[in-house]
Amino acid sequence: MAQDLSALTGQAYKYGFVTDIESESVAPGLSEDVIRLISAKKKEPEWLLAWRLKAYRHWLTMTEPEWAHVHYTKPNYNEIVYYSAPKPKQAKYASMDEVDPELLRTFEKLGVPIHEQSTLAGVAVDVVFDSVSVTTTYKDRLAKEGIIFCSFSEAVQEHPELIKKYLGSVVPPSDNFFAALNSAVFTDGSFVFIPKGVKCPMDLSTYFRINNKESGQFERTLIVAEEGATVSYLEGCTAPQFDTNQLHAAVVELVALDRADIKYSTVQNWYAGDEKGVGGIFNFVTKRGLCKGIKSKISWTQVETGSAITWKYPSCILLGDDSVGEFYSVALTNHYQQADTGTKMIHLGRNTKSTIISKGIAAGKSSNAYRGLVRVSPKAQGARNFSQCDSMLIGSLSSANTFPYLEVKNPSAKVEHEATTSKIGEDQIFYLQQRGINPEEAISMIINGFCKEVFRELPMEFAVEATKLLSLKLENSVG
Amino acid sequence: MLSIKNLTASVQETPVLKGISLEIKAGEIHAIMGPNGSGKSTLGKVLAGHPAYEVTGGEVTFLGKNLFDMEADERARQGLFLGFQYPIEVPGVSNSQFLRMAYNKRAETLGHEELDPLEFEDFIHAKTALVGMSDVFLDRSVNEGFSGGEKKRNEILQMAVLNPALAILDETDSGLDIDALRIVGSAITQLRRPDNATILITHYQRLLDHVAPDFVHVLQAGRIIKSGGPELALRLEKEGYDWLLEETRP
Amino acid sequence: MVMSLASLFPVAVLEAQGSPAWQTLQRQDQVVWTSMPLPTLQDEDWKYFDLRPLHDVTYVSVSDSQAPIALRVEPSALRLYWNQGRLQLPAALPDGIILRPLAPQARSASRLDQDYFFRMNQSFFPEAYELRIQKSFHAKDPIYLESTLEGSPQNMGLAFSRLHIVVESGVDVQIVERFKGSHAYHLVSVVTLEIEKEAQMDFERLHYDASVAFHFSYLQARVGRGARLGVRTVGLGSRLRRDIPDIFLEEAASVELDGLCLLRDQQLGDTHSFIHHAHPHAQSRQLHKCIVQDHSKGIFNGQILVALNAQQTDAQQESRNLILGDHASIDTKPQLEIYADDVKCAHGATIGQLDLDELFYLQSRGFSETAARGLLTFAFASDLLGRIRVPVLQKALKQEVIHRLQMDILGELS
Repeated sequence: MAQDLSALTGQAYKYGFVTDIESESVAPGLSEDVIRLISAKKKEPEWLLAWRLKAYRHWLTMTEPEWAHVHYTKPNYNEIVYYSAPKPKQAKYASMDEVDPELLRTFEKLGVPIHEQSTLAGVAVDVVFDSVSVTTTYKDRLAKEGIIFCSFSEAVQEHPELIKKYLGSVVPPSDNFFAALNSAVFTDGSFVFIPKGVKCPMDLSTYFRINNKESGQFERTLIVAEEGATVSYLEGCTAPQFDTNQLHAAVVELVALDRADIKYSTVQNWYAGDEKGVGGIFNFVTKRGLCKGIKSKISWTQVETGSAITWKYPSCILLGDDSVGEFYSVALTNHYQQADTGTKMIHLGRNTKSTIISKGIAAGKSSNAYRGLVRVSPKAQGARNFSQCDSMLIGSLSSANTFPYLEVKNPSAKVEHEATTSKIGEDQIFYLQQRGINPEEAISMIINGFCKEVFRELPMEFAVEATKLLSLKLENSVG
Repeated sequence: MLSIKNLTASVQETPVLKGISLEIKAGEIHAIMGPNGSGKSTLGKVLAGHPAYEVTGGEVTFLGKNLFDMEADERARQGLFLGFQYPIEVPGVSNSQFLRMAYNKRAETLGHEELDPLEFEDFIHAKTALVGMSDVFLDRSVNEGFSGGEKKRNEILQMAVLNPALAILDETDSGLDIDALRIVGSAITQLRRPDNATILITHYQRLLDHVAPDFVHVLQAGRIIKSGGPELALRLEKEGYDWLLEETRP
Repeated sequence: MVMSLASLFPVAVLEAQGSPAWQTLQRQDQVVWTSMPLPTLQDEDWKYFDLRPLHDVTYVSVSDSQAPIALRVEPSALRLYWNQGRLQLPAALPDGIILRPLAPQARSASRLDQDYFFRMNQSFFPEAYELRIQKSFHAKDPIYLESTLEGSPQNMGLAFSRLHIVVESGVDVQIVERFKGSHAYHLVSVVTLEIEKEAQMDFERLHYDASVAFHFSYLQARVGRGARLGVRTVGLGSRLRRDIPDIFLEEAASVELDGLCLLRDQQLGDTHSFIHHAHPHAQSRQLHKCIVQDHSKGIFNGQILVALNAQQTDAQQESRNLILGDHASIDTKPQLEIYADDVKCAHGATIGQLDLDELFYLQSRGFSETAARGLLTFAFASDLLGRIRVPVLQKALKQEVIHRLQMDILGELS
């Protein structure tokens, strides 16, 4: 089998190109001046600048976290460019014609549906290039329902009262090192607001692309679903192939009020570094959903295949009675990637329920760790949790670790956790081969079978992409 | 159809097949019997291309082609089917998905039309009846949670779907109760055609009550020590293997 | 904030007590230990275990022997007695049993060296013995290791014990360790086990601690090639308890590591285990059950490490927890670290209450609610008790468990 697996041909990361475009950047380095500059460029109100500065000052007092299972050279925060935007001909694009054609070609190459007539029509897309939002499709159609879907910067201008109300309400700047950094220097992201009783008629999507070699990507996304509102949001990402590491420290906040339902899906394909482990994105993201209202629901579905280092724990705070939190994840690591990822489900309200299904696939020399927390606080009557964390090891040089923390302080809680480890067996591959299926397809089939429960939760557009992405990522250095 | 000349093979440096020669023509059913450890299962696995075994000598042609020039999946697509002694589970992949994919691979090789899920559903409905399995099995993951007997019947279902030129069934009868044995035996017989062939690897006579073989060969210590007609199997059933081992002692 | 326990102890308490041969080694350990900070909740390994009660006590040394408390036992079995941490050397020993002072030797480095209390024991234990069981030992009854400890009536007696057991190749032996403590003490005990190849050992450990006591119990075992170790630990009564089994598996070795924890009042019971599959083909089975009542807290941290070459490892771990009190809590953190790919590893953890359907079923058959609760709770514990290999012990333990549970359940209703 070893020869079967290793004979698979490599597939280069096909998004590794760089777009040649005129950009406007600030010199590398971080200081209050840089923050003031960013805020001024975006014409932000005084209160937001003050909020940023407070976060920055707090960040200065914090130390970068250390995790036993992730090893990397810490980024030098003074060598990062904190603002780099494609130079617009004017402050805002009135129409697609004004966007630099080179930029448009980039997105075509990436398969991003930047035109409403494209094949993925029916998905509204907000496109962010090097931390700056380029365009958002379907805005008018959505506006008719009272839905606000625009770049974060635009929301600050057009809907400051909403931003002010919800920004930092789920992830306060003091929460952690990267959240504080993000709060100080975020340049853009997406803002979604679904008013009472409205079910968003189409999936909303943001597409992130890092182009500048030295820039860090600090997006800030805020999604608010009012009473009875529902929305399904897709996040996709790619980055060019550089030999240095780039930092991606985003913050995503979700707020669901009574009976609201937010579904947040991510198919992440950042550049992972080459076969020798050089280069790749450092993906440190704080994602948290607050199930504020009764019967509210937030689900996180993710397929992580890129990034050199992944450190993210999409979480749900189950505050409202009868609220539900879900986490479905496939994390694939290959070559020298390291992932320490998982989720936190914090049960605070009564009769809250959480489900965690995590599938880790570790190939090459990678290291894949699941770190999850289920905490049932003393007043959380009737909490229910079910977790299933499975790992699959491909080849003998990778490692999989599971660290679930179950902390229960209420006697009426029911918590169940299971974890298993398996490998793709020589016998399994032979069995499939004997039915005419070639080894690559056999592995793909087995992996898809392994991840089925998670893929089922992805919106259709992403499910297909996810399946392809996994096979693509595994077609290299296995065995 | 299949021509084996002096095949020798080893597993982890230990020789297991020590010179097997056999001719199988289309339309024939051959039974291979022998005591435990004789190399019966190994023969099936070596022909199918199991990675744990190394061919150390001899030649095998299948449908005029050199068998060992082909990878395991290529052999399968060319029409060689191995019914496993211990069928493998593939969690998360449904039986129907798996079968359709395997079917389409074979169809592609033969130049036939591939079937889409709906078409396949009709196609397979007829086949499940042959092995006495309900359609419920189609939605379950391949062999996951199946009893021993169900797994074996699933192997025959696959055989029915894939319509191989040569089917090698490795101890398909082990673990089957009387009814299941009858169903499996009847299915194998029904699938028989003038243009295909079957090799039944079995320890006991009982399957041969339901499927009449044309030839019976006895394997011992990696070699065929006797070949004959169906009466050979009957005699082995009555008298065991000792008389034969005595007779063929070098 | 208190950083080092050493600063709390009067010098007399911590004088090296071992034989002169050991004292040199112990002094080296003391130097290291006194520079180690007392763990806090910020340390990952002590994340759930609050050591602050240690700051509030006045430590004194444990005085020498009072009359040992007799424990009923098999008349024909080999019994060894320890009192106040010191062995009472028997007059004669049967064939195949060697009992002698443990030869001082520099310990080989182990991961427990970083452990504060393990190091502390290494620095101060008063005496260490080696119990060696050879092929010529024949007994149909288990070997009983009985120990008693009387702490201090007003303060906190600091006590250490140290025992090394070697089971020679091919031997099959059953050992029962029974400990009974009274008054207030902080006991740090270390038992090291060497199971040589193809040997088998069943080790039943029953610790009846005093209700105000602190008991940290280390079991460091090396299971040789093809050998088997079965350990069942039942720890009852202490205010703070931590069980630290550290098992190293050679090729094709196997271990069953089971534990039962019954906690009430303000008790805290922690099992912090580590099973190292260092070589291929080894098997481990771990079942840990915890029942918490009142304001007690149960902790389970079970780590399994499968090394790179440990192919064909078969490891299974289960942590089952029953919460019976409104203010009781459970923290469980099963941990799997796997570097080999051809392995079968699984762990499961559940935290819950008594099943309402089951309760109702019993009540519909005439059991009172109290009785039903008691019965179901006992049932939860009993499968683990059923694994104890010594029948008479099993019986006695079941009685003890019933006694402790019934008492409490009745108490809660009144």
